[in-house]
Amino acid sequence: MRPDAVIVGSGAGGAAAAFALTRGGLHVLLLEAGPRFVPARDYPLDTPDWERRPFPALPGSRARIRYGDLGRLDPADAALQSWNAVEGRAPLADRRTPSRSGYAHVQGVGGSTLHYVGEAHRLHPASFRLARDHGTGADWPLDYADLEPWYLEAERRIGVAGPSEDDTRWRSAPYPLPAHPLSPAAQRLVQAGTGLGLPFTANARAALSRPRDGRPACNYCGQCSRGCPLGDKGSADVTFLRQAGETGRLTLLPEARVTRIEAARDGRVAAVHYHHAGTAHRQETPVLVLSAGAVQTPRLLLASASAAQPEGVANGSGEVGRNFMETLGWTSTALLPGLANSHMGLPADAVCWAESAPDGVPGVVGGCRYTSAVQEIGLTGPAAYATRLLSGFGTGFKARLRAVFGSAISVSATGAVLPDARSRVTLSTEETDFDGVPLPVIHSVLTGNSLTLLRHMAETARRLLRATGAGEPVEEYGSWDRFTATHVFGTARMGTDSATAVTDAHGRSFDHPNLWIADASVFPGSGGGEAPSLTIQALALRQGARILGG
Amino acid sequence: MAAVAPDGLSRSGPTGTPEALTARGTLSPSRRMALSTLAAGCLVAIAGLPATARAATIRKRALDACLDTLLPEDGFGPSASTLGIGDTLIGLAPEGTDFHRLLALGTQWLDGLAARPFADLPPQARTDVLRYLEGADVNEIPGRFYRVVRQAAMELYHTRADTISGLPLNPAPQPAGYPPPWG
Repeated sequence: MRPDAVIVGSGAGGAAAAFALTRGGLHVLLLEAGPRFVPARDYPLDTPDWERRPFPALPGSRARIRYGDLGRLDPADAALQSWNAVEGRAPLADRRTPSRSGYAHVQGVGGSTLHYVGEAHRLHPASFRLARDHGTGADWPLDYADLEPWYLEAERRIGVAGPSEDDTRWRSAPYPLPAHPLSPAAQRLVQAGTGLGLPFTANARAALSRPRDGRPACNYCGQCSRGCPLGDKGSADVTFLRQAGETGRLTLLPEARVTRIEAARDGRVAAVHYHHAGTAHRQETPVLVLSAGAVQTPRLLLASASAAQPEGVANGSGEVGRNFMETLGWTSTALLPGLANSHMGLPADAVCWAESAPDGVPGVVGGCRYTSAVQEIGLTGPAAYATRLLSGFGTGFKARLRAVFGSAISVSATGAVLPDARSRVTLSTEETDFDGVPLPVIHSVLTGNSLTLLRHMAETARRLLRATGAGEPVEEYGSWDRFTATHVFGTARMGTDSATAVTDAHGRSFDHPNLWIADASVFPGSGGGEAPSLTIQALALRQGARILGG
Repeated sequence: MAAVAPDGLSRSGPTGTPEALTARGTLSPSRRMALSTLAAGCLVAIAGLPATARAATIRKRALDACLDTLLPEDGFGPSASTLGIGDTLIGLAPEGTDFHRLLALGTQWLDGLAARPFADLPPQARTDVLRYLEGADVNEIPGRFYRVVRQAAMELYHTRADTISGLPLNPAPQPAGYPPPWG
């Protein structure tokens, strides 16, 4: 049977799109390049060697990525170099390099929501009009009010737990669940932030604070990024995909790697080509939703070039692959005498939004936010302390480890990135994947605006730590010397003008009326450091309603 | 997820493998690769050595003595050698690999410091040697040996159930988690 719609990618956007379309009565074929993860098998957090087990890599769950220009390092900014108390500072390199995780993503049923911490953020309302208000970047072709009902719907489907008050992002209804209790480290940051005019509040989290929808409440093991074996974390597999599956109208095909989009002479997309179980397939579809993320989506569009579309599918504007925006990040950690059990609690449980508006930081455009980060960066076990925070050896070392374990306190800052002509995703001219599709190449350069913001983020993180009474930092790392991007945006942006944007305000291609994009590649801006998954899902739900409405 | 752990061996991020889920007592392939990469950092120094040195074997007694100087027995936990950390490291270093050569040359260096083998030196002398290695150039074999062995040993040792005594930790994060209150 020919499906009513084909969706490519089952992460945040594809899952929400599948939910919307199946609930609306469509039969959906969902093609996922990666495997299906089995929490009980793949996320074993109940064995003593748990700390040696990061989120697993199953066959096919990590795409091959190449890196191009990541920018040069100016020694004048050496205070932004990554270091820790054990490894010290390496000699400065000339150029920025990708970290071991680089573009941190997961291919699998649920996509990168499987290893995300699960922050469920709404963008700051002012982030939607960056160009209008600040003369730089790009405006969204919709505003916060357009998206607010869909934010609410996504929060309800996930079971987001959040604070009763949020004066930076207005809400038409409370969060579905009450906020989680603040961990010991977060409580100390709340005290410190209040004194500095940087108020921390409970973060909005896609983790259940109470049982809901057949899922248990979180038991605060602190290991969201290693995969949640309980199912309280609102990853796409246990929320939107499960709910879509319950309609009986979802056919989900893992390990199905799409290789090409075929456009017909009439301008519509005719079919997708994919490989599955050693066989090449051609699937015709009346509706195609691309949701492979801001690296793989432009890669697929560019790699689908043909005689009729020599620049790639949906690329009449020439903007596919351009406007790539990475995650601007900084994290400082110190040891705080008197702090105990900082490894306990929910990761990223407290957030400070005071500087998240586009004009939130003097001298730059685009804001940032701060979170309590001890658990998120893996400082939850003795091996992490011993290999990152405490140098030395012998009985003295062992005694010191016992004395300070649980006293780490960390602040992470995440900031806005503006589009820049040098930052883009291109196709490799030298390497292809197993199926013969050129590998994506990420080029991402920090602009002067980003560097100024990064300096501010680092200084503020250090100031917050000092205000807690902590000692000097024992570990710091950030975007200056290492490209590490958990959130990427912008490579098929939405807009009002087909000359400068790839899709309209609903993520519909200007070039192909039955091609829709539902992932962060449509973001015209990165926001002010917010995690993007909830916005991706809200956009996908809104898009789904448009598809169903004709 | 906003923040990703740095490039240390202990981190949260998508770098493990299914093999890591079942191979208890060993490092996951990604970590083995990290060890190999770290070991290869002084390949220039290794390449400059005579062929006989490059073919050296790992001196187990010296390795165990080094590990027990790093992580000795105390009132809360056993020594590294008691837990077989040396055997595990050797298991991660098949002949012909950079890691094997680093362990071999590093332990050979330790045994060449005095008339007696490193393992037979007084405890204070062994401590003094490691103190020197702490500040040694990581682009030379002794400094690289210390850095790689320390990182791997610390991770292997501190992920054994018998080493968490005295720490406010469950044997593993699940199934109990850490429900509040958190003191």
